[in-house]
Amino acid sequence: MPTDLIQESGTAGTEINPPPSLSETRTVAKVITEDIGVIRQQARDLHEATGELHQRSHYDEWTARTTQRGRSSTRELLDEFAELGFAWRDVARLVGVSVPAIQKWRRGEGTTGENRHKVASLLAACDLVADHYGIREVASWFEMPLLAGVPVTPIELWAGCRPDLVFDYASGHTDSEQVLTSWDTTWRQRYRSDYEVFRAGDGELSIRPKER
Amino acid sequence: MAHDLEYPGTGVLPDADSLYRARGEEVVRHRPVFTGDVFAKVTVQSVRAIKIKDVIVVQHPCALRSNGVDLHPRLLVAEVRRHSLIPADDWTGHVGKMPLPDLLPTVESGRRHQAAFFDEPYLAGSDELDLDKRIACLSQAGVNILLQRWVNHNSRAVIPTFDYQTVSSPAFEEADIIEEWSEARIDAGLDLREALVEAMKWLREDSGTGATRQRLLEDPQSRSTVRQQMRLALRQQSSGRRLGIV
Repeated sequence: MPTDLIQESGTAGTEINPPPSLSETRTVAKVITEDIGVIRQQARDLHEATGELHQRSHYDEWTARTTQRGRSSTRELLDEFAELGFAWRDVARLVGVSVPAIQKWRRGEGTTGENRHKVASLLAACDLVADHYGIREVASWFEMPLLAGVPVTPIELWAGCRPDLVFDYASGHTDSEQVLTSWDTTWRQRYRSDYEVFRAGDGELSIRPKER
Repeated sequence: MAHDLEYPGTGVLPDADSLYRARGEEVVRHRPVFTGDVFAKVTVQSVRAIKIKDVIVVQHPCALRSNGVDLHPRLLVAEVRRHSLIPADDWTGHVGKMPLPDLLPTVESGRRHQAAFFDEPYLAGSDELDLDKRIACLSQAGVNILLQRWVNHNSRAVIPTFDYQTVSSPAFEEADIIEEWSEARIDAGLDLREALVEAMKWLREDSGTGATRQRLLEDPQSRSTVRQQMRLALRQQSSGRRLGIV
């Protein structure tokens, strides 16, 4: 037999190291880790599924409430917005019309069916978030930024045709940063400013560069 | 993300509708004069000359009035005249102007689109700003863009419009409230000045929290409460109940 040939040594040869032997405890830990991983994935899937289901239920309820609200005249609906403390410019923006259009409707001039439906659906959304999530001052809630220093409010979300984000935010199941990311993935960069607003010596709000 | 001069909307063409609160016949007399108001045929003071120009008010909202009601005797304005439609991506180029697309939306000729020219500033006597010749009022977003461009023209600084929003929104809110108050009170028989004085007096009263209503307007969270109080006060007034206003 030539001496330069490697001799077949089989699986138990000295060139091959056997795997480290697992203690019983370590084997159990591995199984537990895998099981928890599976459960976690299931929870994630369930979270997504319930999230979608919740959105659908919001939509269905909102639609039903809109139908109910749509029985009132546009003028009556606008009176309710006045009672809630909404600014007319915000109502105009939320409905997608001009301020003068809203002013005409307040005086009783006719609206299209589509616009009446939009007004009813906005009021229905106010009803929904107030009833389900205990939002007492709903006009104020719509005007408040989702996060301090970031000028995105529920008004922006609604006017941007994202009622799903408005309902999600109201429900509290999604935090503000997640909502903002769903709205605009660049929000952190977009709303970073080198300036800050402060109260000047004359008592008025003013703008100055931030200290570096 | 570096900030640059902004434009209304997100499309190729600027979203003109979001730039204005009212144009043409939509403009009402009882809205207080505000930054960004456009007036036609105003007698203005130039260097050794008196001219008649269409102008836009460029003075900051906080610098328009001496006592909350009466305008300063002279206000800084800039000439407005026709200009071709400026595409959205070119708003960063025309730094010496405030584009006013669709300023005259019913006009088909080249006058439809205009611009304010910051390098042609004038002084206008406040008594020359005839409310019947006001042809447009900017929206809050429009005012923020105007302030951004005006400050940039004068200083080269680009300050994001959302910072202007924080500073100018209380004054804009106040103008909205005065407009609504005046509309109701003029219907009840007051003249414009009486309604303005009454509205301002009401705003400067203590809201019951230790702060005036005017001060509460600085906090977005309190604004809806002030509006609710205003509408209640107007209802009480119209039903003959005493408001406590002299």
